[in-house]
Amino acid sequence: METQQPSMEKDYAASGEGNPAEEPLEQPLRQSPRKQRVVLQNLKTLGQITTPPPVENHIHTLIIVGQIEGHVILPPKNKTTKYEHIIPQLVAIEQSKEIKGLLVILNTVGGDVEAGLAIAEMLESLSKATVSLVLGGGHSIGVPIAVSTNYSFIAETATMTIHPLRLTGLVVGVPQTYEYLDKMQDRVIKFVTNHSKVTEERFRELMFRTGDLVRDIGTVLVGKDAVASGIIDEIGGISQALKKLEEIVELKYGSKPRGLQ
Amino acid sequence: MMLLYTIVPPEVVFGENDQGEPVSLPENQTHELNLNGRKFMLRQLQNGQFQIDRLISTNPEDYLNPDWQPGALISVVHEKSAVQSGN
Repeated sequence: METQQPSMEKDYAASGEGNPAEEPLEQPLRQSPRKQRVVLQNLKTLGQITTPPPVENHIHTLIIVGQIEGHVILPPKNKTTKYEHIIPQLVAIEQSKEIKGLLVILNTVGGDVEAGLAIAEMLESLSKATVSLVLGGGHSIGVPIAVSTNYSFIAETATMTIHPLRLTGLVVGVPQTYEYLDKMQDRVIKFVTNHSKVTEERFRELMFRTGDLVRDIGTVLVGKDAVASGIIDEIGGISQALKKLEEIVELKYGSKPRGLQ
Repeated sequence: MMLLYTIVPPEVVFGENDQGEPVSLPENQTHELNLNGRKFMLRQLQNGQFQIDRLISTNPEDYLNPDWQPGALISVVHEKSAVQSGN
């Protein structure tokens, strides 16, 4: 079944040759700016670029950066990872026969609770081998996502901020605020404590600690602290994460992923 | 209903100034394009061409394709009718 890989790669190389820029790219459509904007909403097809057949890799990667965007579209200056992009990708990965492992790379400042938890639940229930790597930051709702995989890594310099869900400002248009907030917070705590070595007691202590953050409640865990608290499994970078992923793939499928050299 | 759990203050997320008034944002809207199951975020240049701003794919190989690097130009046909969207 899977022996098609080499020939697919060849096709890719072949189709790459006769590729770009033989025809001039510019075909200016002269329209008033306003009209253009209306038309652009329906932009659909591509012109000259020939597309290579998809090259299947056994390891795929999911990159979660910036704000995790959920039910509300955030202003464009926010760098966001959109829920509606991630979920179909995860479904496709689950269905794929080729893909055996997924590396989740996190550098997020947090975001929508429901979207974050949904992504975490999806990752947790994925049948493929999964490893997460926190680079830079995995704050707030990034924490449950980081722990949702089979194994988790954090870069030595990366940080994770654990703080309570807040009433002031951060809640937008929620009717039964306090109770709702408490429930959502419990969902986050339950998820994290169920999927990592940290105890609920310890996690709550980190979440509500005073004096650690300037003018705020909570804790910033740098690399080693995140491992010591039991939230993350190990300190490491890309090579350790991929090696671990390979091991888990081997355990699950009994063969090494050929996408890795 | 939205609940944000983030370290970024809401005024930064929603682009407000000190008085809580929204700050007008520059128009650098990106357009989304589907191509062979991959998603591209495109930015339109002054001359009407489109430039790749970001590729959204889980396949690491895709990011090595020279035609799909951020900043690469891509030709796009404008669809005038929204009804015909086949994808």
